[in-house]
Amino acid sequence: MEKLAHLWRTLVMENPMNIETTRFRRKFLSFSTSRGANATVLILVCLAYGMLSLSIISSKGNVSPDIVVYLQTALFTILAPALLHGSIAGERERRSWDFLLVAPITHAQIVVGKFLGACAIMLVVVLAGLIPAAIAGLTHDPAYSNLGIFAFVEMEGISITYAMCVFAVTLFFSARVKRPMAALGTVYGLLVVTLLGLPAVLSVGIGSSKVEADTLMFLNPFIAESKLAEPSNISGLPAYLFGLPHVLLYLGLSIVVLAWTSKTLVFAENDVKFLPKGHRGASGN
Amino acid sequence: MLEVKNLRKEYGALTAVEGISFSLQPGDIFGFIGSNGAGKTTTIRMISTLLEPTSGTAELFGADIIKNPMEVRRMIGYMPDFFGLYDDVKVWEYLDFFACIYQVPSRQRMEVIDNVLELTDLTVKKDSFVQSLSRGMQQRLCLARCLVHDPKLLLLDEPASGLDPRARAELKELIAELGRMGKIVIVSSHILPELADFCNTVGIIEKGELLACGPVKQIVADLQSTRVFEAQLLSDTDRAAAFISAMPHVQLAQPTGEGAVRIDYTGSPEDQAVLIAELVKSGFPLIGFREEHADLEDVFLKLTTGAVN
Repeated sequence: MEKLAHLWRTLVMENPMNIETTRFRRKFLSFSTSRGANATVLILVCLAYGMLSLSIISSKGNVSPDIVVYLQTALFTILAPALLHGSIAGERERRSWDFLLVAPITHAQIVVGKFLGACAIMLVVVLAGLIPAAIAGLTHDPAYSNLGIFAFVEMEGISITYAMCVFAVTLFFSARVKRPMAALGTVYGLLVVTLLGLPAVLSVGIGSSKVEADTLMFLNPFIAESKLAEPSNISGLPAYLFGLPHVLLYLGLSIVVLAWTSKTLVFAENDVKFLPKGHRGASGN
Repeated sequence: MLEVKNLRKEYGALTAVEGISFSLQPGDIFGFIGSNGAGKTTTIRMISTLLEPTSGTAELFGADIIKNPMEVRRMIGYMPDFFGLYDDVKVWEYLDFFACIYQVPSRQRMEVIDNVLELTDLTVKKDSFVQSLSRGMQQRLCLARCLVHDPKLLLLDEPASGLDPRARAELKELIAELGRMGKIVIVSSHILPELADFCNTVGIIEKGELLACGPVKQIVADLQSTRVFEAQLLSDTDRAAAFISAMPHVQLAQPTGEGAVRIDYTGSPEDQAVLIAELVKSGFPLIGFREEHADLEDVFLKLTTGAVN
């Protein structure tokens, strides 16, 4: 328990790398950023957000709050890898990585700092999404949708922890590969394979009963959310396996992957590992 | 103080650094000289705790780089030979980021940032985006980043590479100022005149081995077994060379072909005065007499063979 408290204090509460939150905010949530691409994406997201809010208001109760959570999860699937793919590979490519490694911070603090920076952006998205969700919740027609508050919270929990899991996986690949774009491609590929490709392939071999289909798609947050939004859909795995178990699974995966990522940051090894064959051992001179 | 003790780094069969030892005091500016591939960067990276030595260690004010790397990191500012800066932030935001990482108290941070910007002459660029800075300014910003936590040791790996002459001169003056502030500065370079100007101590490294280390004057003197003079005459250089050869303490006297005689001499300054007096008394038309001083470049070329690991 004492060790956990120490970890919480050094990695979260008193982590100097928490300044990444500020850097991420300036980089991704500022219109005055030096990068036109970031500002453009931000403008597009704001426009989409405004259109979503307006369409919910004008739908006169036909939109259920779960739509907001689905959209939010889809946004995280697309943007989470884009946020973090360069966090370590990019530092290495830009040659700013050494500056962090000579600072009096541990590898775990670096990894968790970058992870929390991205989580802060996610939190902004979630908070912003609560407004249209609340409008939809207050105005929706119960005959059209009957989503309870507890189910909505569980759906949000799945969406948030799923995003955290994608952040952790992106950080891991950013630490393991040489180029940021390689990390981005790998994570998108992994998401497609894990959430769609592998279940589809396995379903051919294993069978396609409801239980088997649910089991194969268990990691897919959209399926889990849909089971919570429409309890009538649950006909395979029992209902209690959707919701909190997903939250715990995604959280556990995030922690394991983050721990693994900080173990891969032993710099001297990385430095040598990424040199082409024949040049090994000649680094640094 | 910094004490480097028998620092060694091996990469498999290759020995990049072969048991280097030296010590430096506050205020010392140490020029680390060597060809590309000599082992300068590896040594600097070991001292900066980026690379683990195969054997040996270094202590910075009692903190061991292997046993207590976090303590050492609090005391060092490291500027690598090639580096990049976050290009999507402003200059002050960049320094604020690192001041926070080095745990500079938030109340002092802006004051510290203003101070280092003033020291590095970047105050007017405080609100500019980092990517808009010139190469020289980025170099100075990197140095400013090294200074935000007031380090005791600065490790500057080829800090002047790629800079124009003006930026280079400004950087030299800045490093000299840091030495005057009592910081230990280690500067690696293979541009020798650059180092000779402001380093009070140098180390010459080749194939991972420290060939010479100490004050510049001492290294030069140690390498010169004889003093070299040049006597300038209006005429009669051949006869003067023969006359000088016969004088005591003269090892060799040869006409240079440009109205001068080159003399290798082992005598004292008093003997030197006698030699000049005898030349004049004997009627040689002497119009000049000067000592040729070896410089760092001569010493470097004499000590090294140009071999790399």
